[in-house]
Amino acid sequence: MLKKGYESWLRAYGSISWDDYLRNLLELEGLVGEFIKEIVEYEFYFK
Amino acid sequence: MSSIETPYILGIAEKPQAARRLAYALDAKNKPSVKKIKNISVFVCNRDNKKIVIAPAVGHLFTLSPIGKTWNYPVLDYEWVPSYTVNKNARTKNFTDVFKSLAKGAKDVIIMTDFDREGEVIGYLILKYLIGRTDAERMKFSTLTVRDITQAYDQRDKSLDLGYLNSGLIRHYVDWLYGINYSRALSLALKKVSGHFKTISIGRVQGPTLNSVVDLENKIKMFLPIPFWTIESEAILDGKKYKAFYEKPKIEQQKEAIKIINDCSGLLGKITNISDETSYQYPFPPFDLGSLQREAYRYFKFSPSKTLQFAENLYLKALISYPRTDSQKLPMTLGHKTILSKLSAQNDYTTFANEILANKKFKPREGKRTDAAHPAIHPTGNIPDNTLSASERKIYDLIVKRYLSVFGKRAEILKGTIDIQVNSHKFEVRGSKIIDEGWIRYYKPYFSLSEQILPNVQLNSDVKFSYIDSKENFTSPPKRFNESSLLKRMETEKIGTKATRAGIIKTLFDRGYIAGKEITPTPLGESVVDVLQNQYPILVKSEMTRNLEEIMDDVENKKKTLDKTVFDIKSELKDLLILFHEKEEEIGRSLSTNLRLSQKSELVVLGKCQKCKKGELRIIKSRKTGKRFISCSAYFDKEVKCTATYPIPNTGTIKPTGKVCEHDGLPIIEWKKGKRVYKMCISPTCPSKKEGD
Repeated sequence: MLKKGYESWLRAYGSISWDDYLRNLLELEGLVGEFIKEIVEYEFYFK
Repeated sequence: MSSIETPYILGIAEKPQAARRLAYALDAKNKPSVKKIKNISVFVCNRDNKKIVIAPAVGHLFTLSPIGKTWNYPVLDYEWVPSYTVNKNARTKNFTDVFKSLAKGAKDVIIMTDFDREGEVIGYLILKYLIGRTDAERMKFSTLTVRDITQAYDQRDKSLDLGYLNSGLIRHYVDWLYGINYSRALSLALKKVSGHFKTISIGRVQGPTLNSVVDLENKIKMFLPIPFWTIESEAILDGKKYKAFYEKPKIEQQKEAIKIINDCSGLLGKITNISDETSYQYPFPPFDLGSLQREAYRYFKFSPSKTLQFAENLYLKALISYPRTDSQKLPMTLGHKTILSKLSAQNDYTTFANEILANKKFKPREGKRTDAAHPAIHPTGNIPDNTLSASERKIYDLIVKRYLSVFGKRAEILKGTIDIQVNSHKFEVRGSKIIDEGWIRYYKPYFSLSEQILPNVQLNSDVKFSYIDSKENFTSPPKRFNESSLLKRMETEKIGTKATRAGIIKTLFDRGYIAGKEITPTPLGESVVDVLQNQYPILVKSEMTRNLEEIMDDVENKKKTLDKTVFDIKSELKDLLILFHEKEEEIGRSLSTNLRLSQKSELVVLGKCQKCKKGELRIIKSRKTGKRFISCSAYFDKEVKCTATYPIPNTGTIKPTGKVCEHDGLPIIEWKKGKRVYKMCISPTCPSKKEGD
């Protein structure tokens, strides 16, 4: 799901790095679903 | 026990307040005598040289009970028993005894309960089990006004409508059969595996309703926002600033948004079109129960069950018509001229009621939905006394104003647009002017229109913009249900009835399956649905209960007989329960695991409270908001009532560390989010946090 989201963000911005995508998702308070946020945190901090 | 001279006609009323109103209306002098039997007021009236004794029930006096004492399933045999024999809290014994004592002297019986399925069942069971008869005359009324009651008496049916009665009975049988069997099945499945007993109750309507809440919560948890852009702009017309709308409401690519802004960089446009159009806003249809509940939630934030309770009180005070209706119709036979004349005597409504009366147009605007038993909810015109609570007054005012508004003329609004071209891009400035408020005047403050008057401008003239900018937005997760929207969802899914939906939602709250004004499932609710979705989905899908509703409608329409239908339903249920039994261990294991996990997050003790020195600090979850926080156990101690509370994150898991903070002596907790672990003092103002610890 995260990858599919990244494709949508790429289409929207034209170009965005994977890291920036994750960082932006972490900063979006109240919009990102709990399960997605946990996966993003794991991807961002630990991978 | 009864000292009333026989013979008499016995009237069965649904509630004490209704009995009083019926008696006062039916007595020729409007002065019935009141006798006390077992401390219950029974009314004796005289009408047309006949004595009518009206005794009240207090809702249902009977309940279904299984035959046989073993606590197992399937349970397919049942009987009607007096409520007080099963439920010690049911204060129905005296009411039951009153009817028993009056039975002997009753020459004839008239059922005077509310005219709906439940009223029919209430009256019939009293008739059958306390009076020893199977048929009676039936009064049908939609309000408790003198006019309606006397009319209902004069036009009473000579016997009960079996189709209507049977549709009420079958609903009880089906709800009871499914409720008791599946609650036992789930509870026993859990006990078999875990050795512990816990009542897991679920009903045929509760299951799909809870499932809707859980499904939505899962969608919210899995939501990933996607960016998009909007063009924000302000045009200057005649020296004033007006919001202008870009031709495309949503831009999906940033480069396109940038291009638009660059193209419009000169901030100068030209007016290419000016148009006006008259549009009309027609009155909303009269209230049925669902729309009343939604409107009361929207404006007053009253829950659907509270709104129903207030409306029922207003009905019992003969101020409004019967509220449990699906109808949006107000037939002319209701006598609108009379109702409006009566309303004109009430200060709050004098002006508008007189206006409508002066227009002499008494045909109300109606909606499409009908209900065979009752019209749409409307006021009776009777003047409220000062026994109304503040909340009842609010609902009363809402109903009266809605009623007045359906006689009002359509509102007329002039909608204007000014099109502005900037290079190849089109912007629109929108305005509106109220020409005639029409019905809206009668319905304020519950609805209003705003105006934006556009200036006079010339075609082809130049327009400057104060700004044209692009704004980044993100798609939002779906909104959680509130009680009103969950009710609407049940209506759309066609599960439950107008009378039962609010009660089902309340039951889900009471059983701890859902919480909060923005409704979220609790860990218990999520556990139960998770297990059922995977192992036994029929209990959480709407199809089964929808099919049952259709079968029950067939019984009402006499397309199917009661006995055959009950037999078929029992057979189908038996097969479903056999299927359940085959998977009992698997279901039990899943339930046990899920419940253990959900209970773990519900009560965690962290340490001693430093404020009162008596209680323990624990993590608890608010039943109202669904959010977790730390509070002191001594809050519930009447002598101490410690109010120490501390906020905590609502995601991740929290464990005590057994250590205390060196700054303030409060417990240090461990907060785990994914693979990250943080240790921190529970106090948000602890100095350790400022130090970056």
